[in-house]
Amino acid sequence: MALAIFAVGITGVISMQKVTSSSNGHAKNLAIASHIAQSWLDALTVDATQWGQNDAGRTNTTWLKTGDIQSPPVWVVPAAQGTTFGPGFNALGSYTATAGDIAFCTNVRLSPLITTAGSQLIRTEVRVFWQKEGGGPLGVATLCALSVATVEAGTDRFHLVYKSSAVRQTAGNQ
Amino acid sequence: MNERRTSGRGRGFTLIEIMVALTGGLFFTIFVFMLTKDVTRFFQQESRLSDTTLTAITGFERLRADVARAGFLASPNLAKDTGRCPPRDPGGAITSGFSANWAANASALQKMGILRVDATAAAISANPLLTMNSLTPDTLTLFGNYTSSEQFPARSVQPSGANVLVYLDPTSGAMARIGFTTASSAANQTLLDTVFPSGRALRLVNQENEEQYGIITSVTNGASPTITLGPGLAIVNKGAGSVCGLRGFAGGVQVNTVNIIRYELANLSADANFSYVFAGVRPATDTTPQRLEFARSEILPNDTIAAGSTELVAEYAVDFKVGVSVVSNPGTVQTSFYPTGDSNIPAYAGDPLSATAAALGKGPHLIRAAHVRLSVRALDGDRDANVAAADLGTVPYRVQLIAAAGSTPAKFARVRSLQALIATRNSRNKLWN
Repeated sequence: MALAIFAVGITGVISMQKVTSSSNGHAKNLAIASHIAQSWLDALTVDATQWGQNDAGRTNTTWLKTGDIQSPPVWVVPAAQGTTFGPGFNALGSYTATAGDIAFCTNVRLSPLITTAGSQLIRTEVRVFWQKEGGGPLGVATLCALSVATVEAGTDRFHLVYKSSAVRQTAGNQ
Repeated sequence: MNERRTSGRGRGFTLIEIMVALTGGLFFTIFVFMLTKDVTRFFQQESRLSDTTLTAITGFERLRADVARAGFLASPNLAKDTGRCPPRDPGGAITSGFSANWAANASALQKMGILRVDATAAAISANPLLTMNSLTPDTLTLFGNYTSSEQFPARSVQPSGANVLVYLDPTSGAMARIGFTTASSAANQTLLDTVFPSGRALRLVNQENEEQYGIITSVTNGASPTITLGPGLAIVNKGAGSVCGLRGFAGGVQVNTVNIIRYELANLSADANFSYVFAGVRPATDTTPQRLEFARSEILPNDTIAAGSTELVAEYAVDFKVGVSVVSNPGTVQTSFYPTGDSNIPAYAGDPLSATAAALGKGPHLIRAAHVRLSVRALDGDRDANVAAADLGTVPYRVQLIAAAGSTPAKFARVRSLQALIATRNSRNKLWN
């Protein structure tokens, strides 16, 4: 009898430890993903400083180019900018292009809000996703190789963090 | 007469039974005690790390706000500024047009750019904790108006002996917005002293958009609020020998303070203003040289720290790095990002009077964003090693603390790093060569 009660107690303690550890890990990942999303919004804001008054096609920008804004707006995996910034981040939250190290991946969606020439406004939305514990094999070489449809259909496999902002056309040349 | 009970029901425990029960109880108590001790230690470690994260976030937000404001109501590159008066000689040296007084009295102001990135002072870079962990933090200097958001119109600007008096228009909207009234009250004096602090630079912009700088020595309130500029920097009038400058009584000239803000790692243990931080008996990891802070100071035009201006932004800082995004081709407005440590950074964020930054198509006015990264450590070490070098990347993850003499190797303290890319909007459209 005593042994049975003891076993139940120990099982409870172990379960509690497991939940605590798992929650800590999730909180850490959530914080990292939020910072990644904010970094991307910052990057898009800086990109918009190159969007001059006479540059309707946003040709000087890296991510805000006309070709990247589709109608209706869709989520895309943004291109990397050189070797310094891109969609993939490692478990510590640093940018990485190494497929095996990518623990977080980013999607971006750009939607025109105001289309008046010279004072346009674009909504910038960023979502960062990472695998849930026990989410199963990816089936592709890296997280960022997953199609947008797979991510959207896999809410039971991925955690997602969303952030949004808006960028405005800059007066002058840039 | 009582009889000794011998029945099984009334019998007590034997000595063996009691010993077994006591031993079992002892083991159980030890187990519970160890578990509690570990939980407490773990809680303290995580609490320290939580404090670290919080201090980093708070300090970082301050830094973000200041970087985003850089260049506000100031020149993003004074040496190359086409509005500078006296102007640079066409084709002349980058310092041409500056009088000798600039180098003597305003060496820091002369190097005004939207921001500047330098290696940290030798006294800090030689810190044993930093050298042991191969950390080489940067210093970030920002220029701009950090005392108000206004330009104040002047009724006139007139010489007075060796000084220059700037008579502010007390009825202007800007004066009303800061809450100024013409009463000669202590509150009004405090207000003006806050907006036009003594020793700081004053920027004067005339109606032709030519800008000059003076050094504030005092400001007086009353019906005719007046700023006195000292003889350190001369204010030029247009006329014989000068193609630019103030016209007539200079009515309508707009003035504002220009501050120089510096962010850097600093040892504040000797600063009496922060004695409360270091008071009492503290562990070795909480004292110099293990401990450095991330500090914000205001620099005077002559490159000295303004008394009492130093603020502790984040405790236990171990690294601070800055990268820049710049217009690398002013012709096509193409931008390039140079991460921390890149060899191209000095051409844009280095000393604007140096040959590198003075070259065509270079200089701080071409900076469009700053990438800043602040790293702070937990108070105490709680890890035996760092993660593998291959997994580290460029961002500090843990720092090894300095071991006390004769003790075992020191532990590693966990590090929290925050980074952001911040647009510097006040340099937009500045594409001078």
